[in-house]
Amino acid sequence: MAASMEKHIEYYFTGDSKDASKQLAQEINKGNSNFLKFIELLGNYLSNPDNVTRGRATQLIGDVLDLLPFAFLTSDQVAFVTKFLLAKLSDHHTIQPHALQTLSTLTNRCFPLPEGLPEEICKTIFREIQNQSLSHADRRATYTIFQNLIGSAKKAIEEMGGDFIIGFIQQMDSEKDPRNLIICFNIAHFISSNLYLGPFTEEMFEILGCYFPIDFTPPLNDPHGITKKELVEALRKCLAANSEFAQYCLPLFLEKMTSDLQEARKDAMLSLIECAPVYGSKGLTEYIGSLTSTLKREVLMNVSADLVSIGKEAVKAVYQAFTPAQEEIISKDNIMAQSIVELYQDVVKYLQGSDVKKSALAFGLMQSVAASSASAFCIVTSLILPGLIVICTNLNQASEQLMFLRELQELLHTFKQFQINHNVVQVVEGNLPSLLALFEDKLNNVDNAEIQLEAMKALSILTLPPVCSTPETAQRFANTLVVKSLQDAKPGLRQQTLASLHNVVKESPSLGTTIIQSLVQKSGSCNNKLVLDAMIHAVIDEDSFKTVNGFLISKIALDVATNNVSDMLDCTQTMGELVSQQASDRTCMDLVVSETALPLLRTAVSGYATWADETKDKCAAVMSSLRKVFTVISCSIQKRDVTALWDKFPKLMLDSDASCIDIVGDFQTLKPFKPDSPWQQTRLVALLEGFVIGGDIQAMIEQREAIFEAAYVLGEHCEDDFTQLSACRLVAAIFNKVPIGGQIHWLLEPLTEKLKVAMGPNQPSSAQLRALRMWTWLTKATECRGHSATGILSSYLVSFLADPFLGAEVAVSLGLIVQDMDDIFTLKLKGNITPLYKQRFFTLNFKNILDGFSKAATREIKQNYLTAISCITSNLPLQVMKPHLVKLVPLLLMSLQQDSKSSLSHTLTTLSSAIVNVPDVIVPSVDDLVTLLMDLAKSHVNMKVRLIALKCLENLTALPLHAVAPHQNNVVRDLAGTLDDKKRLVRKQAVDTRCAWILLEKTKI
Amino acid sequence: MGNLDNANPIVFLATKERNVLPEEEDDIFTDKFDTREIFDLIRVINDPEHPLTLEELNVVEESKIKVDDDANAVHILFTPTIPHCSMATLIGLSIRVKLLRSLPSRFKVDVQITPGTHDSEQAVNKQLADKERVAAALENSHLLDVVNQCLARRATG
Repeated sequence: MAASMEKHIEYYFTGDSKDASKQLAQEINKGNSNFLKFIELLGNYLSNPDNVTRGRATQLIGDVLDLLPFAFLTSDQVAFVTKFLLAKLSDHHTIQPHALQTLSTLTNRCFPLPEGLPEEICKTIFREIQNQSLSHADRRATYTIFQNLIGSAKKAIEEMGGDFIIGFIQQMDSEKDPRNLIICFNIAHFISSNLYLGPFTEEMFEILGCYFPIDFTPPLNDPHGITKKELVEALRKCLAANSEFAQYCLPLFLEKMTSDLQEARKDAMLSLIECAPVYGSKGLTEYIGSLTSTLKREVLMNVSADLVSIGKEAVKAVYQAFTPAQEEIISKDNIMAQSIVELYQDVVKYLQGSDVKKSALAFGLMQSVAASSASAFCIVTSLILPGLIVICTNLNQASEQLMFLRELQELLHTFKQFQINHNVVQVVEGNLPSLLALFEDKLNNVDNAEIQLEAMKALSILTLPPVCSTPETAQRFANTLVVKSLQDAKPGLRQQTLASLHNVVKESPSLGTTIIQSLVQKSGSCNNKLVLDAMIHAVIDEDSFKTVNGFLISKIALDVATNNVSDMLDCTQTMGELVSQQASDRTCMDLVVSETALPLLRTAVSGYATWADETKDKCAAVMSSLRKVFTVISCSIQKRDVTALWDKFPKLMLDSDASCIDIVGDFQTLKPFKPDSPWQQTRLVALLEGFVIGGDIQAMIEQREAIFEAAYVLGEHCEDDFTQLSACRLVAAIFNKVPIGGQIHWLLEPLTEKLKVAMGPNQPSSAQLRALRMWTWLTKATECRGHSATGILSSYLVSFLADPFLGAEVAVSLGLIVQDMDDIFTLKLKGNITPLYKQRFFTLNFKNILDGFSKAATREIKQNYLTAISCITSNLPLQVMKPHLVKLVPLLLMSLQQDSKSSLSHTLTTLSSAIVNVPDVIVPSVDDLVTLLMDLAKSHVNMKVRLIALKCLENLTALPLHAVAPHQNNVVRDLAGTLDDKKRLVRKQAVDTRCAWILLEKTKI
Repeated sequence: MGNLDNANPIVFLATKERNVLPEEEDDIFTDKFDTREIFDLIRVINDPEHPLTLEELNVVEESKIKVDDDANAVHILFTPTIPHCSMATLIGLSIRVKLLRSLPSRFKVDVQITPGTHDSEQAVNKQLADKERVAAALENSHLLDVVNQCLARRATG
C-alpha cells in the first residue's frame, strides 16, 4: 500500500495532480492510520529545498483533505497539521498561498477544532499575512478561514473580541473583488451584530462605509453569478447590524441623499428604511431635522414615482422609530411632535392647493408620516385634515377632486389601522360633520363614477362605529346605497356599492331587516336582477338568510305558476349565489335542506307540467341553474343532511312517491327515469345530477345502484338531448365517486357490453350517438380516478376513430376527456381525481392514434385522427407533448391543411409554443410550415386564426438562420398583403412579423 | 463616437398601449387606419443618438399625423429636438422606411419636418420626398444598417 501511495504522490508532482489526489484520498479513506503514512511519505517533499515542491506538497494535503469525508481526522491529527500549516505561513512567500488554501479546506472539513487552535489560527494569520499583497483567490482563502471559524468555533471568536475585530479590519482593508466582498460583508455582519465593537466602532464603519453606495455591473457571462443586488443587500445588512453605527451612517446617508445620482439617493433611502428601526430614536434624534427635510425635498421634486414612494417609505420608517413604547398622548415638546410640526410648517404653503400636483405630493408626504404610528396620526390629522376637507369641497374639476379625495381616502385607510386607539378615533370624530357633509355631497350630487366610488369607500368607514355611533347616519348611508344599488352603474362602482351595503349591514345588523324589506317592496317596480343582487348582499346571518331565501322561494313558485321564465332564471341564479355566499355559515347550511332544497324540489316537481314545447330552451337554462344550486347545497351541507335529502330522491323519482317531499296531489304518472316519459319530467333528473356531483357519495347509500342503473337506461334511450346529457353526467359522477369494491364497479362490464352493441353498425344513428356520449363520460370518469378499466374504455373509444359515421364525433369526444371542467370532477366537488391523469391518457393512447392514422384508408378517416390529435393537444401542457413532438409536429401540420374550423386555432397555439420551445423538431418541417402559415395568414376567414398564424410566422424567425433564410424573400413579399388586413389587431401582428423577417439576418449576427 | 448634437435632450412620457375595443375583436367590423395606428408604428423607432424612442423625445406626435384611409394618404410632420440637428434626414428616412415596410403599398406617404423647426427644413423635405434618392440611400449597406438599428426593437437592437 505504501508503495502505491508513494507512486500516487510522485504522480501528483509529475503528472495529473487531480487524478493523483483522488487516488490518494481513496487509499487514505480505507483507514485513518493511512493518513499518518501519507504525511510520512510526503515528508521529503515538505522539507524539499525547492520552494515550488514544498508549496505543492502543502497544497496536496489540502487537495486530499477536500476529498476525505467530513471530520475524518482525529483532533490530534488536526492540531498537528494545523500547527504545521501555521508554521508554513512564515515560510517563503510563495508557500503562503498554498498554506492558506489548505488551511481553508482544513477549517471547513475538520471539526471540532481542539481548544485554543482557532485563536492561534487567527492570531498567526493576523501576524503573518499581508492580505493586500495576495491574489484574489488567496485573499478569499483567508476570508473563508474566518468564515469557517465563525461557524465552527463561534465562542472562541467571541472571546477574542477586539483582537479579532481589528485583525479582520486590517485583512479586509481595500478589498475590491465582489466575490470576496460578499464573504467579507457576511463576516462583518457577524462581528457587528455579535461582538462588542467599543473603540473599534468607527474603524468598523469606515471599512464598510467606503463601499456605500455600491456600484457594480457584473461582466457579461459572469460564471460567478454575483449580482449588484446581492452586494447591496449584504452591505445594507451590515450597516443595520449595530445601533452604534447611527452616528456615522446617518451623515453618510444624508450626504448621499443629496447626490445628483438617482441610484445613490435611492440606495441611501432604502438603507435608511432598513437601518431606522435598529438605530431607534436615540440614534436618529440628532439628525431628524435634516433627514426629514432632505426626504421632503426628494418627495416634492417628484423625479420619478419610484423615488417618491421610496422617499415616503423612508419618512414613515424614520417616524416609526420614534413610536413611544405605549401609545399615549405625547406632549407638544416631544421631539417627534416638534419635528412633525416643523415639517408641516415647511410644506404648509403647498397644502393650500394652488399648485395641485405639488399639493397632492405634500399631502402624500404628511400621509406617510401619519402612517408611522398612532401618535403621529393624531398630530398629522389635526394639522392637515381641516385644510384637506376645504380643498376637496372647493375644487371643481373632476380629476383634481379625485386626486385629493384619494389622499383623504389614504388617510382614512391609515385610520382603520389605528382605530383601536381611542385618541385616533377622537381626532377623526372631531372632523366628522364636515367629512360626512363632504362625502355625502360627492356621493349624491356628483355625476362621476370614480368620485362616487371614493365617497362610498370613505362613508363605509365614517358612518359606522367606532367613528360614528349615531344609527341615523348609517341609516342615511344605507338608504343611499339601496337607491344606488338599484341603478345600473359601471361594474366597479356597482361592486363597491354592494360591498359597502354588505359591510353596513354587517356592522349594524339592525339595519338589515329594513334594507331587505325596502328591497322586497321595490322588487315589483325595478329591474329584477339588480334588486335580487342587492338583496343577497344584505344577508349576513341566519335571520336575514331565512327572509331572503323565503322571498326567493315564493318568487320562484309564483314565476312557475305564471310561467315568467326570465324572472325565474334570475331568481334561481340568485339562489345559487346566495347559497354559495353563505356556504361557510354552519347555521344557514343547517337550514338549507328544509328551507331551500326541498321547497325548490317541490316547485320543480309540481310545476313541471307548465313547461310548453316552445319553452324547451328556457327550461334547459332554468334546470341548469337549479342544478348548480343543488351542487352548491350538497357540497356545503353536513353528511347527515346529504343522506336525508338523498333518501327522498329514489322514492320520488323511482317510486313516484311525491308525498316524501310533502306534495299533495296525484303524481302517479311522474316517472323521470323512464326514457319515454315527457321531457318535462325527465329533465328533473338534472336536479339529482347536480346533487350527486357536489355531494359526498358515502352519504348516498339507499338504492344507489338502482339510481345508477336507471340513469344508465335513461342515458341510453332518452331522446331529449338535455336529459340524456344529464343522465350521462349522473352516471359518470356516481361511477367516479363510488369507493373501490362498490357493487357499481361490477356493473361496469355488463354496461359496456350493452353500449358496444348500441354503438354497433346495425343500430340507428341516434342510438349510436347516445351510446357514444355515455361511453365518453364513463371514460372520463374512469380516467379521472385512474380506474383499472380505463385502458379498455379509452382504447375502444380510440378505435372508433376509424368508424365512418361516429369517427368525427369520437375525435371531439377525446378532447373532452382531457379537458379541465369546473362544474364536475373537481376536488372541491369531492370528485375522485388522480394527478396527471391527462398525461397518462395521452401517453397510453398516442401510439394507437398514430397507428390508426397510418392505417386509415380514406381521407375522411385520416381527418378524424388529425382532429382528435388537435383536440387532445390543445388541452395538454407542452411539457407532456415534448417527448412526442417529433412525431406530433408532422401530424399537426397535416391537420392545418384540413378544413376543420374548430380545432385550427388550438393547433396553431400548440405549434406556436412548439416553435419557441423545441425549435430542433420544427426545423425539418419548416418548408411546409411556412407555406401553410402564409396561406392561413392571408386568407382564413377567422381573424383569430390569421393572428395566430402570423404569430407563428414571427416565432419562426428565432429558428437557425440556415433553415429560414431561404424563405425570407418570399415571406416578406407575401406578407405585404396582410398589412392591409381589415382587422387592426391582425395588421399590428403582420407589421411585427414582417419586420422580424426583414431584419432576419441582422438579429442573428 | 463623436460629439452628440443634443447631449441632454428633454425626455417625455411614453403613451400606454392602445386599448382593444370589443368591435376590434369582432370579425364582422372593418377597422380603418387611423392616426393612432400610424403613430403606434413610428413612435417605437429608436433615436439614432440616444437610447430613447422618437416618442420619448417628442420628435413624433399623434397630433401631427394625418391619415385618410379612403384617399390612401398619410401625412406626417416630425420635429427635430434642435434646429441644427444633423440627424434630421436620418430620422425622416427611418420613418419612411418603417412605413414602407409596415403599410400597404396603396398608401402615399409624405414625411416632412414641422415648419419652422429646422434650419435646413426645405432641403431635408426635398430629400425625403424624392423616391429615387430614398431608394438609392437604401442601396447603401452602411446607411441601411444604421436605419435598421433605428427600427430594431429595443430588446434586440
